[in-house]
Parts: sequence; C-alpha cells; structure tokens
Amino acid sequence: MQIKKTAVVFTCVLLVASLLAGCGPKKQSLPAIRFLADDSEAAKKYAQGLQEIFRKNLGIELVLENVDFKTRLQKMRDQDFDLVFAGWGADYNDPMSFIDLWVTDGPYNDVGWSNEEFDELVTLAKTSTDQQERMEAMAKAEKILLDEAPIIPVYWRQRNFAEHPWAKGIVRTAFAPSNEWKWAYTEGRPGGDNELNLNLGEEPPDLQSVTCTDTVSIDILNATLEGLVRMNPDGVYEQGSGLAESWTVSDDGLVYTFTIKDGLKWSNGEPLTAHDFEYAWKTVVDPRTASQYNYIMFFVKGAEDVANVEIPDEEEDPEGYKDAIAELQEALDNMGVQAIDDNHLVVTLEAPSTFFLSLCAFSTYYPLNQKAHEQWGEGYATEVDKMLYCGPFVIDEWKHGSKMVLKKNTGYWDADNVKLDSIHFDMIKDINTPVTMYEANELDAIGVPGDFIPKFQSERPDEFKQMPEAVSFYLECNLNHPLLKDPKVRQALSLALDRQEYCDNVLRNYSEPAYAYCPPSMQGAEPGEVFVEKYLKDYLPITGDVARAQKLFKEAVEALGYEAPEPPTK
Amino acid sequence: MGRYILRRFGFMLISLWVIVTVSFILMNAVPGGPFTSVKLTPLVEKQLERKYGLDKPRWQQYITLLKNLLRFDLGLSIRERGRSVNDIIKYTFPTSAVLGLEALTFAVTLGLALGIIAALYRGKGLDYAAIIIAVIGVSIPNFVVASILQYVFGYKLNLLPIARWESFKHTILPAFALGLGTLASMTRMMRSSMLEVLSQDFIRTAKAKGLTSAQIIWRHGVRNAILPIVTILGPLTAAITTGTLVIERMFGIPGLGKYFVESIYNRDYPMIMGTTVFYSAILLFMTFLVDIAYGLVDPRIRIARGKGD
Repeated sequence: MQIKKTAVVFTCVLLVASLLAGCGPKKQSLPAIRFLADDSEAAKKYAQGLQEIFRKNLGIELVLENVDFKTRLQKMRDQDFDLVFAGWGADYNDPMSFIDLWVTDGPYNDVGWSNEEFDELVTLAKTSTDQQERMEAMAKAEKILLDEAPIIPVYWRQRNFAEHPWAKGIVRTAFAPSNEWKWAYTEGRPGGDNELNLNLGEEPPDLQSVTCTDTVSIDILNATLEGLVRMNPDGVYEQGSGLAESWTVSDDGLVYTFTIKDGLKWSNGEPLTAHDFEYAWKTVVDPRTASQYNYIMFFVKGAEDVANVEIPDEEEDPEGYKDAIAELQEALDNMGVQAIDDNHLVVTLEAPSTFFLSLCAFSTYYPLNQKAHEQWGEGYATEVDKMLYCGPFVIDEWKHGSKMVLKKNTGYWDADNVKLDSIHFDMIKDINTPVTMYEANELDAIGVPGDFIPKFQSERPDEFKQMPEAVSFYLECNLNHPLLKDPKVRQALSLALDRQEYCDNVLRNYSEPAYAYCPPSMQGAEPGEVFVEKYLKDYLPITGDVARAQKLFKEAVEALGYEAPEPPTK
Repeated sequence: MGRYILRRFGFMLISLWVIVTVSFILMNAVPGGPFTSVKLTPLVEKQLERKYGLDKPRWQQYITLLKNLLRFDLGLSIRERGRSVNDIIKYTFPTSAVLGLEALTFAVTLGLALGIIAALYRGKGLDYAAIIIAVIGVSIPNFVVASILQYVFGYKLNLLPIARWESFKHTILPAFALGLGTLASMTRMMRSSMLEVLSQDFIRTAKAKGLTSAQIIWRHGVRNAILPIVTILGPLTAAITTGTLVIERMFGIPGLGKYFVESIYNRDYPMIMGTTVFYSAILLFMTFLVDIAYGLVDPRIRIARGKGD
C-alpha cells in the first residue's frame, strides 16, 4: 500500500515538473522528413542504409516510405515527398542528358528548384558549337547544382557480368543499346561455334522502333535494324558504319546531308531508301503515335512543333479534328527532315549539336517502311512475320515470354563481318536461374546479381567483369519542405553522407561513390575524355565531412527556429 | 436440375459484374497509370491517354469496358504494345493449364494415397514418413524447392533441364516444385479426414456386417473422407491452372501467372481487367462443378430431388 502511494506522489511530481519545464521559451522540435523509396527488397535495404547514415551522423530520423515503382514516380510528379531516392539514365553520350533535367520548370524537375544562372549556362551549352565552351558551361552549371544541392548525388551504378572465355566480341556500352552483337564470335564453344545462348530477362515489350523505350527491346532492335550510323567497337561513329555511306555537315553545323548506301534492301526484298528515314522520324513526333521518346527527336528543326499539335477526338469535334490534321500536315511538311531522292536525306537541326551522330545510331532514329507499318498497324512488330529487318540479324523465331532466336541476315550490307549464325535468347526473369544455367554452360554470358559477386570473384575471376553504366542515383529534396527549403540543410545532408562507406557496406555491388552528378561514362569535349574527371573530380567529399555537416546542420536548423537534434555520440 | 443450373449461372454473372466493378474502382484508385515512367513528359502522357481512351471520364470508360466485356473483347495490352489481352491469354493459359494439371495430378493422387496410408497406419513408421513429407512440403517455399531441384537434377546430375519450356522433360521439375505444397496439404487433409471417418459408427457397422477391409476403406472410408478435398479442389484447380508467378519466373515458362502480378505493377489496365475476369470466371465455374460433383460423391447430397424421392 505504502509503495503504491509513493508511486502516485512521485508520478504527480514528475508530471508537474515536466509541465513547468514546458512553459519556458522552447523551440519547436524538428519537422519529420519523409523518405520515399521503392519497395523491392534491395531498394528497402538501400533506403535503410541511408536512413542509418543520417541517423548516425546528424541525429535525424528519416521516416521511410517504401512504395512500388509507379507509385513513387506518381508521388514525385505530384511533389508528394520530402526526400526521394531517384535515378536517371542517359539518353545520349553528353552530360546534357543529365544536366538539363534541372532547368526551371523542366518536365522532370520535380523538386521545384530554379536558378537563373544555371538556366543560362544550360542554354549556352545547348546552342554553342564550341565543345570546350559547352563543357565548361555544363561544368559550371553542375557546380551550381551541387552547391545548392536540390539533389544529392549518392552513387554511380556499375554493371557486373560474366562471360565464358569462348564468348568473344560482345560490345557492351554504358548507353542503350547496352549489348552489341554484330561483332560477336565464339572460339571453342562447347555446344558448337558461331552461336550464342543468352538471357534476355523478359519479353521485349515493344519492338516498334518509333515507340520503343526499354533496353531489352532496344538491344534486339539494334541487332535487327540499323540507323544512319552504327557505333564501332571502340565507341566511334565513322562514315559508312551504318546505312549512310557518308555525310556532309554545313559550316554552321545545322544541316546534315546523308548519302544512303546503294542497293539496301528490307528483309522482304523491298528497297530501303531515304524516304524510310523521313517517314520514321516524322512518325516518331506525330502526336497520334504518342511516342515517349519523341523528345529525342526534338533536336531536328520543327519536330517539337509537330509533337505539340493537339488533335481533338474525331467523333466529338469533327471540325476541330479536320483543322488539327491540316495544322499537323503543315508542321510535318516544315519539319527539318527531307528525302530529296532515294539516296539523299537532308536534316536540319534546331541548334548545332555535337552529339547528333550518336543519336542517328539510336533506335528512335531507325528507318521504318511505311507500307509495312501501315499494313500491320497496331500489330506492327508484335510477331516475327509482322515486321521488317535491315540489320545484321533477323528474328527467326519468337515464342512470346519464352524464347527468341536471331539468325544472321544474309541480305545485310556488311554480312561478311557478321560471324554469328544465330543467337538464342531465353526470357527468364528470375535472377538465380541464369546463374545456374551459366554454370552448366547453358548460357554463354550473364549479368551477375549482387549476391553472387563474391562467388564469381573467387570461383571465376577471369570470367567476372565490370563496367560503368550511364546511370546516376541521387536524393531529390522537395524545396517546399520547411527544412529542406534551406540550402544549408541540404548541403549538410550531402556532407553527412559517407558515400564510400555506403557503397562498400550497403550496396556491395561495386557501385562507385558519386563525387558529382553526371556519371563518369559521359564523355567530355573529346572521345576518351571523361567529363566529371576533368571538371569535377572529387567535388563532393566521397567519405563525407561529418563534423562540418553537423555544424552546418545545427546552425541552419536553429536559424529556422527549430531545436537541433542531440549531437549523436559514438 | 436445369433450373438449378440456370439459377447458378445467373449468380455467376452477377458475381462477375460485381468483381469487374470493384476491380475497376480499385485499379483506378492506385496511384500512377499505365504510362507512368521516369521519362514520360506531360505532353506525351496526354497523347497516350487520348490514344487509349483514358482521357474520357471514368463512367464512360466503365461503360465501354462493360460493352467490350459483353463481346468478350478484353482490349489491347498497354505494356506489351500492340498485343491484345485475348491473344495473350489464349497463348499463355494453355501453358499454365498443362503445367498446373500435371502438378495437380501428381499432387492429388500422391497426396491422397499418402493421406490414406498415413491414416491406416496411424502411429507407425509409414504415418511418420507421410507426416514428414507433408511438413516439409508445407513449410519450404516453392522457390527454395525449385532452386534445389534445378541445382541437383539440372546442374549436378544433369538429368533434367534447369529451365526453358520445350518438351515434356522441361515440365517435370516445375510441375514437381509447383505441386509439392499442394501434395503436402492434400496429405494432411486426407489423413485427418480419413481418421475422423474411420472412427465413425457406420464403419463399425460395416465391419460388423462382415465386409472386407478393402470394401470398408474404399466404399465407406475414402468416399466419405474425400468430401472436404472435393470442396477445395475447385478453387485449387482454378488457382493452379492459371499459373503462378514464382515457378514461371524461375523456369522461364511463358504462362499466364506473371500477368496477374505484373499487370498491376505495370498498371496495364486492360490486362488487369482481363486476368481478373478470366480468373474469376474459371473460379466460379470450378465452384459450380464442385457443387455438381458433390451430388455424385456424397450420397447425402442430392441437388435435384424429385417429389417423393
């Protein structure tokens, strides 16, 4: 009884004391920071790793919100996040593919960041023909981005793969197409030479070049179609490497005149001409095609005007529809791509572009045969016999969701240099099965999942390889958040991040800690020059600077009128 | 009997309509849409919505959906551009059905046999063996079983293909991995059901009448004990023949299973609706078959009794 009474008195005293303590001038406690990330097992682990680092180094507790991929994207568009783990992959080999995301009101700028100087530098880099000047402008722009830190770079992803010693000549690039099989060959392959067994991972969702956006389909299209140019194994775009025999560029860098090779044929025997390019490029931007990659065509003069034509529903508004079609026709006629005869294609650009030739090697710029495309309509490229080929290989067999067999295209202009007779693709989405199949020699090359890296390193060190990908992962800060709106807070987050530790202990897949935003696979002014290495080497401390981060964070938070969290103790 | 079937069919249609409506509402309530992607611009999103009719008001989309369903037209998949949902189901369902039936045949026959044996030899070695198999089958997830099978029979012993879908040989490992869980639950259910039946009075009566033990077990034991199994066999068949994500994924099988899950991740509206309607129809049909089968198996249930029966 006595004990109970004492307990009651004690509790009352405590209550009063805590009430009194609360009466004094007290700062508000820190507002919560929600941290949005994907919900796969790996993504959860990666997000928890960051959560732990910020807890340890700044004493803040991020509130994790793991959602599925599309929900995350939707929430980002709706700016319904505080901090989000996001990534971007390059569309072409120029830092611009990353940098122009963050221009004021850009379609992908979902953090609400705006900086006048940054915008001006981007415009300069987009219009200048002087490579040196462009690179310097982009480097300066990236420094502004890193200083203001609306986004906080975390890591650059590496690609881990293994190939048997007999599989040779597969060219892997940091950009789509990520696998080039034109020059592949085998030497002493157990199952017989001149063929390869590979895993595609899934059914190619869209083999129509004008609408295709995914890497699996782009790899297949690169093998079965060809653009005006094709990248050589050493990463160069040479005259005559693709369907164009040669080209000339006007002095102002705006007009390209391509001469198409003589005697080119589609797989059905029809001649392949400059008109097939004009048709394809116009189809890409035609609003009725609704191609997600239409913006890659916007370098061509007038292409954006075509895409912007709004076409009302024909049944609801027949008059408006007629007008819109007329407007569309006019825009198409004015677009800067024209086949002046069967062999010559004249292309006019919006602004001089130093990487335009690399775009001409990309699937969105491939030719398309109008007759075949119209004949099969929506069903184009959904079955083996509902599409035409003009690349090193043709599709010989396609069992949806199960397998695809490519066969050498004997009608290809450079067939003499294609050594493989066939490539057999499985479509196995699971990541463990292909490893077992590789070990049983049923697959000649595979991507190595993170968990298997140590095993491959110890058991098959000569077969295990790595290369950088043109992908950058970073945190986006919502600038409407009461804390994250302050650049100092964002800088503190960036400094608190020990990227090296994160890559070594959390990711454990050879990802590279990002000391800047653009990944090192982006080329500088000349081939072989790495943009970030030259201009931004170690711009962010990859092991972080926790002491500075804590100081900065405390100052910033207190200036905002909040109580800084207890400095974390070891 | 005819009137009964007609009434059941009517209920099936109403159930389907309810399922479609609820799915439609849920599907549209999930954030993101079929075109949501990292690189989607608002301009193209509008163009795509126009192209696929998603710019229309919801109620209009709903009416169009119902109209198309009445014509058995499930529309075009958005994820797999240009392919119709009807085609995809037509192409993938037979694969899943073959695999599912194989797994089911193996699981049910073996499961029942094990269950009966376990019950008859209760407390003896055979019973424990059956129980061990059942516990293993229930507790080890099928992807673990599949990996072990692939490693042992495919890689180490090189007896069966690790994956791919080409001949009967390719179906053995996935069918086994798929059926093992079912086999285990069949064994357990059959064992307990059989034990219960064997302790009933009528078994004693049958013994007293001097029937042979084979007659007792088959005519009076199994026939009564199998009733609960028949009940779950309907939904089970529907589930297993329409494919499973994990097994298909691991063995590279072009089945329908993956679409149930992936269509939702992809927000492939026509595909979500297609798989939902298809599965519901099969499930309702199977349940219907089970009801009829009851009449054949269970002497106490007669669906259509004439007057004076």
